[in-house]
Amino acid sequence: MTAWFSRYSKRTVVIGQVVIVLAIAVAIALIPILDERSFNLQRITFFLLWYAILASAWNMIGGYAGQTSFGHAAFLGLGAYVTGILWSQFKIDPLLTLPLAGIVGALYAVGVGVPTLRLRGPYFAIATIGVGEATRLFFVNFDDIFGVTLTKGVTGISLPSYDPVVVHYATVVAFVLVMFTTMWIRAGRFGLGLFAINMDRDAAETAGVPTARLQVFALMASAFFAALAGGLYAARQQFLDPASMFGFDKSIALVLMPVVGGLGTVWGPVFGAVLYSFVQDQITSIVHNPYLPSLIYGVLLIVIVMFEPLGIAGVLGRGRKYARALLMPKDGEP
Amino acid sequence: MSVGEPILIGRGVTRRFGGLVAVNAVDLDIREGEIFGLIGPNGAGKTTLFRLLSGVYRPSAGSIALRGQEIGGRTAHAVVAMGIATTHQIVRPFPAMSVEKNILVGVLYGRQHLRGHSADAEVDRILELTELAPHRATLGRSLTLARRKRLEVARALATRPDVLLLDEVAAGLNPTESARIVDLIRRIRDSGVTIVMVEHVMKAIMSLSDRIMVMDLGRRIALGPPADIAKDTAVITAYLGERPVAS
Repeated sequence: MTAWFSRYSKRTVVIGQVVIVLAIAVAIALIPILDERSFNLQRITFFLLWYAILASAWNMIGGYAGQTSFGHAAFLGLGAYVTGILWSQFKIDPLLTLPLAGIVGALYAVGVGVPTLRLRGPYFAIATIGVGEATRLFFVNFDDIFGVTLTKGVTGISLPSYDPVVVHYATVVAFVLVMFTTMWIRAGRFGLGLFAINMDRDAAETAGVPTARLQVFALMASAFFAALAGGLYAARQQFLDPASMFGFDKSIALVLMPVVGGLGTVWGPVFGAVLYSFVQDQITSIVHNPYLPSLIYGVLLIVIVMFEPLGIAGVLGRGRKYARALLMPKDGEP
Repeated sequence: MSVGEPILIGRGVTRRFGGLVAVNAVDLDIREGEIFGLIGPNGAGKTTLFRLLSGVYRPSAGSIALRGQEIGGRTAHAVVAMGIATTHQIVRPFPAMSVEKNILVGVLYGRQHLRGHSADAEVDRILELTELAPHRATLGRSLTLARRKRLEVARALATRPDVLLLDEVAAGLNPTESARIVDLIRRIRDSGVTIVMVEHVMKAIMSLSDRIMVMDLGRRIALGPPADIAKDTAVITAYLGERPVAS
């Protein structure tokens, strides 16, 4: 069982992280139990976890494998429509279709990834913009193409309401899953291979790393969780339309959170998501200017890229180092 | 160590780039356990031949086989899995990884499928063999050139190859560092790995090689023990040009 543990992934660190994830999960899961009427807090924590899932999902391909995707809304929207349509048209419980949404997203990632992941640097990023837009347009014109009435084009579809408390728990479970997956990637052979590809794809290939396969796997895992988050959204919100689900602003948000939080780290995307949902939610409720969150986030992004490439996680890591040096001046251990 | 049967066999190996024939119908038989030197003037096709042997390029014509298994047309990582590892002429350690993690990549994705503590033990073995143990925690980007070259060899060796291709590992090193890497290559051969090396440092290749193949303009122009190669008129002509007629 411990086969993938070696001295390079410190067991104590991994166990500590598992405990923190579970503590967060339990705390958030308790909210509807402790106060049934805490609707606002439930909504806030749902979106907090929802953004954290999306940011961590994006981090698998963008952070670990180093392939920047500007089209992740494609997977998010796809998952939302899978669960949404099966719920509204076929009355299938969203809880049952959530895994299906993830799997459809992962399969779509294979189709998209096999041709595009050969591209390097900016070319992959540009290709993903195309994928995102093409997917949006496909859903806008879905009914016309197939001669059906399922997605209702730009108007979008209304969904029957579903118990938000159940979605709340499902979201907590999805968050735990995405965090465990991220930690598993970070600590093991798969993650080391992705880091190698990220630094030098040719050198990784000559060290025996099957670079093409690993990148497709990373995109599949990433798309699975992004689509799962889409399904969660469809279960909770009673409305889906292509502009908001497949919008380019969604794709950008998915890039911003992990970049601001810390690329290729376990907790960075979570920090980024906390900050993002705070800025989105709180700032707009205080100052009624729809452009203010984007402005704040843009400024943050510039500061981060200039001064701390590892984002909030990097700042915290540095802070911990200084704190340790202050508390234990004799102990030279970094 | 005695030299055995041919392990890596090329027949009519050819690689064209548009109108340029970089490697032209080269035959080669590399024997198990030998150090096989490959020399030639600039543009002779040595590095292209290396890239063909390591699966980076696909031959335009001809065949390359390791222990009877064709390697032409396979991807580079699949060739590593078959047992041919290579170093890059311009060293490419993973810059933000420590020396030991660089080696761990080769160990985990190499032919032995090692995991966990047996992988750690193999990393230690390679660190000792390549004398990189004192620098195990240093990042790839912070190493000196000589150590980067040894790390390049170490990472390739970590995949447990039968045949190791070394592309100019002594180039750019001072005589002391160069002597050290010559020792390392000998130790690797003695551990049972067949070595094919391209080298411009004549002292290194002449003292190490059991046999040397000379290439010029994509063709093989000579093959034999170092002492014979040094006297070969075709080789001297390729390197120095025709001897002027005494007047």
